[in-house]
Amino acid sequence: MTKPLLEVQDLEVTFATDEGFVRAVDGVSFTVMPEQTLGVVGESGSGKSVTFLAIMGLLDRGNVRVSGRVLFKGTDLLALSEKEWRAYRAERIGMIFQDSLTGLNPVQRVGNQIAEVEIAHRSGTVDASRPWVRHKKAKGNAVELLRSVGVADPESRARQWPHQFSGGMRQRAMIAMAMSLGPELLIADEPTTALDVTVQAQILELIDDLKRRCGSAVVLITHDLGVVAEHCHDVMVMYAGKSVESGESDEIFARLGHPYTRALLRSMGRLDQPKPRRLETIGGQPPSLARLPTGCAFHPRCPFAMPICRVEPPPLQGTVQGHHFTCHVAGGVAKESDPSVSSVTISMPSSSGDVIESSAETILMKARGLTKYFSVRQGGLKKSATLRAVDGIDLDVRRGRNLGTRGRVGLREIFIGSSAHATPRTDGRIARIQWCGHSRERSSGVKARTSRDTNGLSGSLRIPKSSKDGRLNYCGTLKSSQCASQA
Amino acid sequence: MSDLEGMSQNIRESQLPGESDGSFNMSAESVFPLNTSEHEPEFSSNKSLSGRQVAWRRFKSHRLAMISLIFLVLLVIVVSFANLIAPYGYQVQNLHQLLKGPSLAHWMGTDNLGRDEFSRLLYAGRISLLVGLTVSLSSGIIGTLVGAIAGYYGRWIDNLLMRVTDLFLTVPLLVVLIIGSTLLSGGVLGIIIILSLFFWMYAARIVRGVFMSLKEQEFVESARSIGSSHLRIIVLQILPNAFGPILVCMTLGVAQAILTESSLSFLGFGIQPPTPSWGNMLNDAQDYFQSAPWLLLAPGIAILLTVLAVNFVGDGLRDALDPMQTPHRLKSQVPEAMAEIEGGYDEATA
Amino acid sequence: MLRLIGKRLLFSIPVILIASGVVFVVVHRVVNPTAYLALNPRSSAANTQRLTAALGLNKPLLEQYFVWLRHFFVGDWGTSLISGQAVARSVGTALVNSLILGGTALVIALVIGMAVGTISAYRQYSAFDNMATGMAFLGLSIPTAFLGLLLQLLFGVYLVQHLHLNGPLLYISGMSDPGSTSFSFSSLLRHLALPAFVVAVQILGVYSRYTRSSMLDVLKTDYIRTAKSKGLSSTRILFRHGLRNSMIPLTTQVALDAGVLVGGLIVTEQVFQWPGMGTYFITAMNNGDYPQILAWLMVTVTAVILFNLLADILYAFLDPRIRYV
Repeated sequence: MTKPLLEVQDLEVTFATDEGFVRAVDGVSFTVMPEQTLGVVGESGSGKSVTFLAIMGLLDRGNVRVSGRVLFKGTDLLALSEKEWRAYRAERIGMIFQDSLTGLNPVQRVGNQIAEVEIAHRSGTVDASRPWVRHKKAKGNAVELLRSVGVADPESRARQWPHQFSGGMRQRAMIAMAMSLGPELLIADEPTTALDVTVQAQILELIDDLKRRCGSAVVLITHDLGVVAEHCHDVMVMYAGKSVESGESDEIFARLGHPYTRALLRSMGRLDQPKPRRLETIGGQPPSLARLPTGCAFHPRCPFAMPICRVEPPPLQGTVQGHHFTCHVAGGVAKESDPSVSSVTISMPSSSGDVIESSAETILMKARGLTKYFSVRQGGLKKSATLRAVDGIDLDVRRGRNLGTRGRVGLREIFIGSSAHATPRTDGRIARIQWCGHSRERSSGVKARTSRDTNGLSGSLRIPKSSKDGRLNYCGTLKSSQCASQA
Repeated sequence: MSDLEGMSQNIRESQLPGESDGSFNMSAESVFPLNTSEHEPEFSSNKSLSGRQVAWRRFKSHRLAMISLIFLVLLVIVVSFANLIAPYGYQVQNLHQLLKGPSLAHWMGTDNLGRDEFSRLLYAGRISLLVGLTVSLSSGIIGTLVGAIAGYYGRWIDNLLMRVTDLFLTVPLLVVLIIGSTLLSGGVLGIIIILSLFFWMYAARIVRGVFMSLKEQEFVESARSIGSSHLRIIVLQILPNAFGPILVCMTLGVAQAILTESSLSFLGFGIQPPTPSWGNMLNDAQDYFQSAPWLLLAPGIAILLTVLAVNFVGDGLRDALDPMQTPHRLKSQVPEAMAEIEGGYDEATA
Repeated sequence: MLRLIGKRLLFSIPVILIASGVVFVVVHRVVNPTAYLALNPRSSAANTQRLTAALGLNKPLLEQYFVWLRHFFVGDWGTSLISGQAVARSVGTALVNSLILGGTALVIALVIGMAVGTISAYRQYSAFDNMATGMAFLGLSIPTAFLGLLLQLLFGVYLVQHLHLNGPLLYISGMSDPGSTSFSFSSLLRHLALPAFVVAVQILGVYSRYTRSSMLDVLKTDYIRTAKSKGLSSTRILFRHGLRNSMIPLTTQVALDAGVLVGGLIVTEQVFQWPGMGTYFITAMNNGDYPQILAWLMVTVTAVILFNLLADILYAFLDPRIRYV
């Protein structure tokens, strides 16, 4: 049996906040094997990011307390001094973050930022040549790194600034930075959440590719089970600061386990299955870490909750070797019966807003020829370009059905009624629209004046012909924190 | 300090580094909290403290701010009842007691006309405080108006208003005040007006920042989609979020206004004698600073302490309203307290 | 980038022109050049009329404006009503003196302020930080006149008395010894010390707080976290990433302040009788010296506009996001 690369034992992270001391990570233990990928899944606030920030020693020592053991090839990272820790960062463990725009220094050229890693770590080494020679070499290596992560024309790109890169390219640059010294472990904290769906797949492919080439292990932190299914050998599911289920991903998706995992799986739409009547969501909201429920943290939202769940913390159960979960329900709860994992893959939409569902029912709203053009200012004296975000699409919304749209922004503006070009024709009384907008990628050199979508806004809106349209009713605004990717 | 008119005081503590060219774009969110409590996801076991309670608690923990607040309250009370407390009128001259040092009869001595310094100090305090407060209030209102319109409507309105704001910001303050006061012939009201005309820019910038960062958010879009008029959105939705920053700005504005008025009056262009203000008392002291230093110390220290107190209160307010800072109290106790919670935490949640 | 500078420079010209118009109108309304004549009991109404005609004040406003403007751009700024001296020269001297005072104070305040601010941010809430914050507040809150007068008292009276000195260690008035003809650098320094200190003390507080808050913000950013995750040393992070980013807004602010400085040190100069733009203005205002005030305002306004321009250019230079849109 190979020795684990990273072994975390009973990690606890506590923050001092206004509302008292909050335990963001509560006794989490897991291992990462060499050259394997571990997926860490959880909602916002589950503690998944904090866990790895603590492992890297990136938490502010002032108001945070970390305890437990983090053994990287036998050495306890938490016992290291700051200086020793620095030797581990980037050289042996690399990390990339979610937001690549804020994650890169805006006033430093991208190439220099990548080269900086090598310069900082290798300055005291055998290579006793002059500093500028080393710097030159490092910059050359940076260009090559950019090439290897798939950035076209790396020589000129390396001399550009982060804001001139597109979102996907920036993330590639971040990956290049993290991998430049060939670390044995790469921690990727939601690397694709802020990216367009098309780019997501490319980035994940890139990570897989680099993993193979460098022989690194990868930790992929995400809230997207589809990603986990595609790319991860092992999975750990976190909830409210605890690890509630862990094991090999095949096992997790197939067999019995924690109700939370089951709920996550069920809330994903499946293209290969007949469409269910409604999408399942997990009722309620993640608990505030300052006021956790008693007993099992998940019990308020758990469809299988029993009286004991409210009282006692759930015990650890292990079914097949390596597959553990904490639950009172003996033997766990059944997951989706279909074991074929690959059908959970998300489909890629085409360029502008696609309409993905309809059937024969009473049509509430018919929209024909919806267009939304944005006038985009280009720098300097160039005339405005026209961005055709939505170019003449037709939509039917039927009573009682949900219409999902995927794609770039543009449709959203139409439904808010702020569009200058679109005139949807409306018939009927109540329109209920649910959609998921995704944030638009910024292509270099062009600034769009669009507003930023958050993932998964759903709302019920009126579509007023004029603002005093009495025929349509307002149904209130809902907000869901996650959009389950679906059809 | 306002001698350095328009200088770094422009920055004000309440501003944060942002782009300082014409298209000012500060994200107020990074500075001040948003009152989005009605839009937060609800936690299963709620009862989190309301924003105001949290803010008050944090303010209380800022000791200097609390002391300053108490001091200011006392000061306002004393000064308001000056006519009851002051032993003499501010114009009463005792020609036998010219330029006498502090004594039992005259706690802070007398000036060159035999007037009691202490009484003058109290009456002058009225004027200076009045000016400070009114200027801050009125300029705050003007600034909020300008900032809200600029931030909300954007584009050319924003551009225009910001250019105007920048214009006002870059004129040397004392110079225009001197010229202005010559035009308006310095009664107290005139001074207040002219000062307000040049103090609104700070509030405007801050409010504009808040509006720009909030107007694209979902709750505004939802409100618009249900047909709320722009006015409703501005006043009911976005503006409440700006109250915090505006309050801090206005508090610091009081300090600024008092200093500016004192400089102006010191130069002879502000409040004109015989109306006493701390500023023109400094002016009077100038000629006699060798022979009668108490004449200098009394108004000088009064201004210093008052402005200092106001600044501390403003700083405390700002700390209290900023969600991203750890309160001083908690921070210093963290290492010990952290050790205590080992093992004790579970009982709390049971 | 060059295009940016050119555009802004070009744009400044109409601004200055408009400003000149505003200045002219305002001064015309505010200043009555014949006032001092009227106060003189020995002067007759005829004198006043003659002066008015000589100054061209009975012509229509617009004509006066253009006459003045024409002269102004050629360099003929008129002569002082009181002293008869060429205004251009006297304003020029005053300008230089103010720049000396202001420049020195600015540099001191900047260097110390940045250092203090950076350390304060790095060691937030430490004793140093608290002390620095306290001092900054003190500097912000003290009235200029008070501080100046106090120092005059201290150095001009008490120290001389108690230490039995011949003359004050640091001079409390003027820019040079009256009666001395040669230029002495040490004399200049001794005269400069106190007023520069007064000015510096106040801006220092602001700059250090500004640096501190700017630095704190920068230290919280994601890219600092990325830098840490790259295993960079704290020094490297602090300087290359932290300071480099937090200095951008400060630098532009300093440029703006410098512009205001030109007309700005009125109270300090009055207290210490420093022959700069501040005292010049006060004297001119009190005398109703029309040409002097006009020239003074034009210089001040132009300085402000030019320094604004400098600030914008500096900002574009330092922040590549502006340079390459």
